[in-house]
Amino acid sequence: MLVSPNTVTFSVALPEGTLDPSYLDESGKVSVLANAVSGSMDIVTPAEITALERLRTGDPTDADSTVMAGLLERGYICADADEDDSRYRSIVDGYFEAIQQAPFQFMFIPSFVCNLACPYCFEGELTTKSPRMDEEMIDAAFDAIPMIQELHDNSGPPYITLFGGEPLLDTAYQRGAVERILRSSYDRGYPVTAITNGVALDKYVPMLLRYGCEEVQVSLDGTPEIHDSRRVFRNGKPTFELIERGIDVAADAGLRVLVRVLIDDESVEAMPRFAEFAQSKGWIDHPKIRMFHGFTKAITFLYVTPDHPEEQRRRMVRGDVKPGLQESFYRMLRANPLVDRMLEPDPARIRSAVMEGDRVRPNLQGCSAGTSVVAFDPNGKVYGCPETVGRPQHACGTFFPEFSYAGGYRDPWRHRHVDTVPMCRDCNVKLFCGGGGCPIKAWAASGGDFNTCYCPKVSAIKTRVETELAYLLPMALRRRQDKAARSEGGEGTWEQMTRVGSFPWMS
Amino acid sequence: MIAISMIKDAEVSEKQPDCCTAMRGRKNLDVQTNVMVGDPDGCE
Repeated sequence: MLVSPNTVTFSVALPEGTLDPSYLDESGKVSVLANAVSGSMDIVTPAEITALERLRTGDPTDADSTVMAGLLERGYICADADEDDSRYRSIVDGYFEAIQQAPFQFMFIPSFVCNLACPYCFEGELTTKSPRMDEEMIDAAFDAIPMIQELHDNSGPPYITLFGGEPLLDTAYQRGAVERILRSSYDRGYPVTAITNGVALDKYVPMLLRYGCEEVQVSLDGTPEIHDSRRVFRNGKPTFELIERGIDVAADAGLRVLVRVLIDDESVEAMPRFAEFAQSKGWIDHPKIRMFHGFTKAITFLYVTPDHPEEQRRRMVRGDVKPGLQESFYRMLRANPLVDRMLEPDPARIRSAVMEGDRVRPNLQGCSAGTSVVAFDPNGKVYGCPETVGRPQHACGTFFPEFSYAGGYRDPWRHRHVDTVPMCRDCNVKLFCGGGGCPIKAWAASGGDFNTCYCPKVSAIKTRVETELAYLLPMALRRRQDKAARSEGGEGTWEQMTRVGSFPWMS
Repeated sequence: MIAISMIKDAEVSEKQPDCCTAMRGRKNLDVQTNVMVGDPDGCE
């Protein structure tokens, strides 16, 4: 017997009384085993952890056969290393086969211009003055789509995303360019989505519907007070009410609306008030609206290239999220179930596994930008990552006036995954992080090698999972207890339901 | 040992894919990809 290389032990602090004390270790935490290849996750006793760790270090174990059988059945230990590896390999191969058939996203940036002046915008100075995509350039971008898919060995359906700058500016030029992109997509049968600031969304809804646009994404910064203190027009005028109207008009017209709620130190404590607002609007349960959160990020890495001095690269390529923000976010969530229902946050991507008993899903490749996303900018350049657009040092080709594609730059990026980064290969947490962190950061920080790791720290990946487990497990266990109690008490049975008052017409 | 995930007969809700965020079509893969929605705090 040996421990599966992808078995991870997480150590989770749970509120007192959540579990029987026999599950607590000396520090008062509980151990959670997970294996993203077998899909299992279990809360285990200190004795079970000891048996596993002794097996890992090669020490003889005196654990009883029931313990070992349980660990084996759930895939934490295995009898045959080759068989275990073959299961892992089939997941990796299956992923890359599936990726080749998966839809490929092409982002069109008619111009970088934006009418807002959000202080944290990653496009920054690009949004004040920009070239425009003319008709010839738009047609060239559509012509480039099959060529790029062929270079990526991708036969999936392409789909188009309008991006900017602000794609839905209410100007004559922009309406013309957007309509040409929409019409060209419609004629080719490509679905369209748009990522917009939303201030003129209501005016664009008829056009978007006419060409079959399926989905738009807008952002709000929380309550109107906080939102209008920063997500403002260039002249400082507020935008909340315009975006609110855009969301309502779009959703009522049948467009699916994703509302990204930006959270940072300034807005996190106001989320409960924003959730009440969203509920009063009917957004939280609206069938066409989905809300999710994003943290404002540090973006200095965009300005770094491999030829910068090492010290500068190290300083500028760094983490995105301010220390402490995750903690304050979860603290706020614990006290405010409505915010949880609104956002259903899942940074570690284990929510479905913990709350619904789904399998733990392995994350084999850290970023979809590496495989099946490309952005066309109004300079005629092609970018592999939408966050890098407009920075020529990150371009991977051109689509106008001529098509060119830097395979030497793009291929190692495209093929980068948990096994191509040496540091990740033997890391047992790799299937919870995707292997190597952000590829652009790894490339810049290492001096030009995609197959390096810009992993913040293995401990940071573990902490992310442990933080989410500490948040979700009490809810999941309580839900199970309630379900068991209902089942024991006959709640939910026909006898129970047919009591007077259970159905409105019987009361 | 208390099984948390990979529960037989678990009632797993159907997740709707999000087109804007490159998730479209991938929900049925047996693995998840890192997408802006799924990984809102980015690459750290």
